[in-house]
Amino acid sequence: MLPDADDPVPEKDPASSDWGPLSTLPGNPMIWILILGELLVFGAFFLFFAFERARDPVLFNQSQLHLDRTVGAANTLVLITSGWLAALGARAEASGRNSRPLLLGSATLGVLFLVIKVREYATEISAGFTIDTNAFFSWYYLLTGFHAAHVVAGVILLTIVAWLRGEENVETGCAVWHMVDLIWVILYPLVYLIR
Amino acid sequence: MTLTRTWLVLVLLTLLALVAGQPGGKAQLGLLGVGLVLLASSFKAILILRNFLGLRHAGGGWQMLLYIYLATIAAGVLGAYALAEAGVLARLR
Repeated sequence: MLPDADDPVPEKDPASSDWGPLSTLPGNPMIWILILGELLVFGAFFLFFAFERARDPVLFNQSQLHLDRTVGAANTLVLITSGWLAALGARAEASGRNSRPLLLGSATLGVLFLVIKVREYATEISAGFTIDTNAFFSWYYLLTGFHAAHVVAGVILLTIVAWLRGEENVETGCAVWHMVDLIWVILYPLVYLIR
Repeated sequence: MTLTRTWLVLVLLTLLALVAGQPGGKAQLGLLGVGLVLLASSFKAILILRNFLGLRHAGGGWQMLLYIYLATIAAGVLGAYALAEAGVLARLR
């Protein structure tokens, strides 16, 4: 049975650690320095993209029509399903159950996301839309490529923590994975939908 | 909300955002359409933070910080869209 119910999650005691406020966050506190840094970098990129679009909305709108919104939505569904499996895995590990199948399932969906993304890139490049085509496509390849690099890192981390289990390891791997998921949930509408 | 219910809501919101973004459409969404898409996406992000990541068990300060982060991005994107509609930044090129 899946560990789906809202099981009580043990609260962390901030006073029991030297990490201060970071101690209340799930996983190893050090990973949160990375996560918060990545969120800031992506957040800045998103705002730059939005204001670059505002400088030339016609170019951005026309270029965006060459992206496949349905494929982007399919990839969103793949990532949120992967995030769901990771969350179930973390819950299973906290309850003393084997989280490995759930974590490996989550990592496999991460690989599926990358396969879909690479096929999407291939379609766009074969249609003549490369990173040099215009400002929209430069931003498109930069943002989605930077995110894809994080997906690769996340898949590797999920595979490692599936192998080297333990509550903190699994929580740490899943925290990174949910950050990757969260970034895509904002990136997809910004790049594919808003026009 | 259980993890599976959260996942189902995320799936529904993704489909809602896709429909609001008009899969085969070429027309502009307008400020209201963009606002709806951003609202759906921000709500998805909050669900991921609270229920998948378990942020609801973290301190209230962390929750507030990340909600402010999401609100800043949504407001910035919506504001930039409004400026584009008004052609304000295009004149600065």
